[in-house]
Amino acid sequence: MAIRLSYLSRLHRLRSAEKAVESVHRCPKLKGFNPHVAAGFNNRVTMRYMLLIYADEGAAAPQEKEQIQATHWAVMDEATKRGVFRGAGPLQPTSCTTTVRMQNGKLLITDGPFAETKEQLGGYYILDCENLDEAIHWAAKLPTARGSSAGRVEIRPIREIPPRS
Amino acid sequence: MADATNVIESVFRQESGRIIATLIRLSGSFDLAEEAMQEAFASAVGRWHGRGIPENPGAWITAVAHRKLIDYLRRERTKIEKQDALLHETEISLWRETVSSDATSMTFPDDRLRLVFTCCHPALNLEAQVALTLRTLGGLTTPEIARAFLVPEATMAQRLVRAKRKIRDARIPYAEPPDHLWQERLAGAQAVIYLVFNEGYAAATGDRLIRKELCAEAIRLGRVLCDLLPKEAENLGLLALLLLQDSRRSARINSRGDLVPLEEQDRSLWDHKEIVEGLELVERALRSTRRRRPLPRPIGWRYPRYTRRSQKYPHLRWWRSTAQWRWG
Repeated sequence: MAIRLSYLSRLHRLRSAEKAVESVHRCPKLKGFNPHVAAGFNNRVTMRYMLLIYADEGAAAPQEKEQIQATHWAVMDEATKRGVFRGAGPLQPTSCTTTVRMQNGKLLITDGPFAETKEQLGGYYILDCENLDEAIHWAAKLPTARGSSAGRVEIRPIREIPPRS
Repeated sequence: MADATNVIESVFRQESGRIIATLIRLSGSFDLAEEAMQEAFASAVGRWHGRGIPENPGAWITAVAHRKLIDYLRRERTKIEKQDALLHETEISLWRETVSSDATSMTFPDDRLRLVFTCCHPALNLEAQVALTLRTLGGLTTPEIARAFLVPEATMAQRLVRAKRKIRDARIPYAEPPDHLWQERLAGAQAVIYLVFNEGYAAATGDRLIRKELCAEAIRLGRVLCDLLPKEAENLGLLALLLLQDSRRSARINSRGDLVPLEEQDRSLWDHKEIVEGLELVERALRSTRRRRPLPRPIGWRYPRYTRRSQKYPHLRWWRSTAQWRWG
């Protein structure tokens, strides 16, 4: 009885390993090494999303900033624990921004962001999610409100380009 | 001969929503599912004339379309493997479904709820939600939807293409929403159905026939939602609202094309069957949401006695009635 059980469990493990390998080969996206697959957690086919945080930078009170930072740390910790975190970064305010473009073959450098908007890009997150609903779930946790103005989070799926051969 | 064509048309009208919902789940793509379904219906036209109509036409069509999907994917897989594909097809669950050879005994689970919630996903804009719902669940063609909403056909086609592309590229999941989002997503779906109805009901311009078809389509979608989720009082309420409003459509506009106020409408023109059904639904909805008297109840409050003591103890009635005579 014990021998049969161990044989069955080995067989089961072999079969699930086979299935995992098969599912990798069936999906054309995973041909070759794809560093974006959540390695070691499960073999789910995921897609990276960039979450862009737009907020009114001038409206934040100093005590709010600490709370916002704490919320960001908490979100990053939880995302790392779930295995979806791929990167994040706060951005310096628009007073430190420089815009560069080519005009008539010459490099044109201007001070300030691309466009003057009521809410400015304040930071980004890159998360590896299974679908849009999961990305929305994480976006809802991000703190965007500054003072009285509520900011917003833009969710952009990242296009997956296969590695150069 | 005409028999089979009528049957096929009625099968299309009733079952196409359910068939395409299953095929979208199996293939992971709206376009592939639609193509497969069209080919299956085409082959039904050929087969059913000769061999008669199968017992479960919906399942037959689904099974045939399923086989066509598998064939298509077998051919495409070799092509996909050769290219270094930038295509991002979601994992195809097709391979895991086993197809039994007997089409009539096969039962496919009802995937229409998934289709409803995907078409009415808040990430799509409202016009796209309405167009996609009517196209997939409603079974209307693109020119019919374009005429109903008074936009050029090319615009409507582009709207549908963009919506499907967004679902594919942003990976809107083909699934029912999680429990904590259920109520608001359901409200979104109900809003879409009501929008469709409103478009047919309130618009004064446009083809009267199309308006009536839109209202009928909205009522049909309302019924589908009630079938899928019969316990939700809001669904029953929505369908009741649509039926009660639709019952007055013949009396609303007089011969000159003006709106007739409610008090002045000719009641004989109202559709009484719809009114009866609507009122019944309202009753059901109220019954399903009625609550008992909430706590806290006042001190000394007791449940009122609903039966007389003699009804509860019938075996003592004789004893009590004779007791006075016995003991004087």
